[in-house]
Amino acid sequence: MNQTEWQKAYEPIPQQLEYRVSHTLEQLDGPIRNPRKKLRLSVLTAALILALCGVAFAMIHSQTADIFGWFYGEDMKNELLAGDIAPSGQSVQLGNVVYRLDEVVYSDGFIYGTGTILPADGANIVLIAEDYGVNDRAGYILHYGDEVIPDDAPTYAELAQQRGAKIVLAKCVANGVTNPDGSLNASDIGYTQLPQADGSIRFTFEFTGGEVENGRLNETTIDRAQSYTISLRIGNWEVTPDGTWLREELNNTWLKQEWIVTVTPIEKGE
Amino acid sequence: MKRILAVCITLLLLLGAAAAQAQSLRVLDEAGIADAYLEAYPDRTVDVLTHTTAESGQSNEQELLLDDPDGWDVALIWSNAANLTALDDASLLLDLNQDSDFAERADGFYTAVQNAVTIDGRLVAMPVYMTGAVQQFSLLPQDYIDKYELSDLLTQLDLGGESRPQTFAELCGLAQRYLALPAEARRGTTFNCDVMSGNATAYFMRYMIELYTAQYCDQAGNIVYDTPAFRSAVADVDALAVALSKASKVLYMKDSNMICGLLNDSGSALISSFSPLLYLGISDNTALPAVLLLAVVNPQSEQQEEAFDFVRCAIQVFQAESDVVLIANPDYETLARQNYDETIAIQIQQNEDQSVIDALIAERDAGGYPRFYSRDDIEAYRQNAAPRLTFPCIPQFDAYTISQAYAAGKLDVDSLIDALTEATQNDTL
Repeated sequence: MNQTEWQKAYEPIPQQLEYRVSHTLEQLDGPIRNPRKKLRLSVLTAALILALCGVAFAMIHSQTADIFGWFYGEDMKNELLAGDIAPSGQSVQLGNVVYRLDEVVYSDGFIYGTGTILPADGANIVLIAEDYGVNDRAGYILHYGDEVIPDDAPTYAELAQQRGAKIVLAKCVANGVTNPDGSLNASDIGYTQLPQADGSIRFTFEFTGGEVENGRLNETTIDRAQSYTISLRIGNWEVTPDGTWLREELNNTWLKQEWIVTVTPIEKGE
Repeated sequence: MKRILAVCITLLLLLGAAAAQAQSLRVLDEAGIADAYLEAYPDRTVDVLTHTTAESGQSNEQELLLDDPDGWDVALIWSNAANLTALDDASLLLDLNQDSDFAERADGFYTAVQNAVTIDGRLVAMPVYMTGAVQQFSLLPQDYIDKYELSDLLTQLDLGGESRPQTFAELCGLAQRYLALPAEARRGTTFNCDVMSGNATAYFMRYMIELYTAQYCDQAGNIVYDTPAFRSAVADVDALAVALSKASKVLYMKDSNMICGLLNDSGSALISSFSPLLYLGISDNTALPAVLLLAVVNPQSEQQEEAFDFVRCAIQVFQAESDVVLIANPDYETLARQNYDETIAIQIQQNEDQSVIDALIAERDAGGYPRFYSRDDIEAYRQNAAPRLTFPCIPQFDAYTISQAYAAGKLDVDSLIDALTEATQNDTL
């Protein structure tokens, strides 16, 4: 990656930082410098520091690596930290629900991703994840974690009643990487939907390559690339307080669509 | 002249043989056995016939075979989707007793299984797989009871040992006794984990309808719902749902989020290594409805040997899983080792860690076979399930939607009966 690409990858340098670096350099003992050269040098230095910090941060922290490390162990976390990490932040709204792709990681032919599902601004809804019932305690990861659940923690049904809100089941599942011809490249697709204490849902996905030919799924590979176009399937529907999904005619609240997102990872080495 | 005639006849015979050899085996393959067959016989070919299935679940397998009697050689069909009597009346079922291996295998079946595939002494179908026709439930297994110290709870519920519900009414009674206990006494448990999704009425109504339909339909699939037994079962569901709604919030185990379901969904299993299945019935009906995957061979087929080979492949694919429920006195060691060999082969194919593969091999060679059904599991099935097996042609319809409508208050018991009667008389194919 060259200097221009580094600068494009991160936000513009704050003006205060530029002045601070410039002032600091002026205070140093040593030969009098040309002010213009000093400013250019300070800008370049700051950019270099920020770029390196950004890369270093991406190398030492990744939401996706954290979550998959929690699933599969420290080896998996380290593997993903060493992979090509693509911070995203792209989002889309479907009905009263916002889906945000937080990050994608490419590692050794696999794509891993994490994101967040949350109520749209002003929407009075209680989100519930797939595989959770209205009588489960809201916001607790019941199927994986070791959370201690207080006896008085409200259920999804109780929370919705307290707020006068509707219960909405929302999910996001990966379809795969989209090839230039529009076909999908994916197999062994795994996903989870994890309730969060703040009422959002964390979604994860992982898959490797695969293509359907003559009705058969053939495993292929996902080659390392400068960018990946990922197809996601998002949807949401209302759930009544007694747990009925409103997805049948005359009272069908089911919204669904394909969401295409392109991400550009930071490649590490060869 | 004679020489020319001989040459022509020889040529014709050779061409005929070549044509026969090149002809694909025409199969109605419900279970994907074609791949195993072609792997065993790579120089042969297969034409797989396809069937359609309506949204209700009703399949057109029987119609396919009847409508095109010359168009197939061997078929894998489900016993609740194709009536053997109808196929036999159309002279479409070859007597498989002419193969000594098939005859010997059939002699070893449980009586109910033998009766299901025999017409006038003829072996008209070869069962290769069997599963339950309705959902089965089991209670919490003893090792969970011990681990989570739930013995007191079971004592309060008059459960434990051989004491367990045998009818749907007894199950509903158990639920009401459980839910009548103080919340703290129920800490760490729930009556049924699936019910925590919220809609207990719909959940148990669907189960009751499917159980009643499978138990009370006749061999041809005719069913009457307006009966005292059905109305009583509906009342049981109503009482159960009221009780569950009053105690829908569970208390988790102290310092954890663990919860144990007292009643667990065992799918359509007929045998379990997890916990004894309840084999519930409606009222005094003790029938245990099951479904067989049957291999049948067309008497008009010109490739009977190839068809028999296809049937042998189907038997082999399912044998380790199915013979424990089909065969009255199965060869336990052979089946257990076969089950382990298949599991090991899959682990190798999936590039599993060698340590895992080595552990499986060690288990297999030690002879305990902890991942296979125990001899006690098979004996429990022999005593409690095998004598009750039935194989009706169960009408296929959408019980879930009707159950949802009842749970939502859109149907009362009379309109529920009307809806079910209409659904089971409606051919949606």
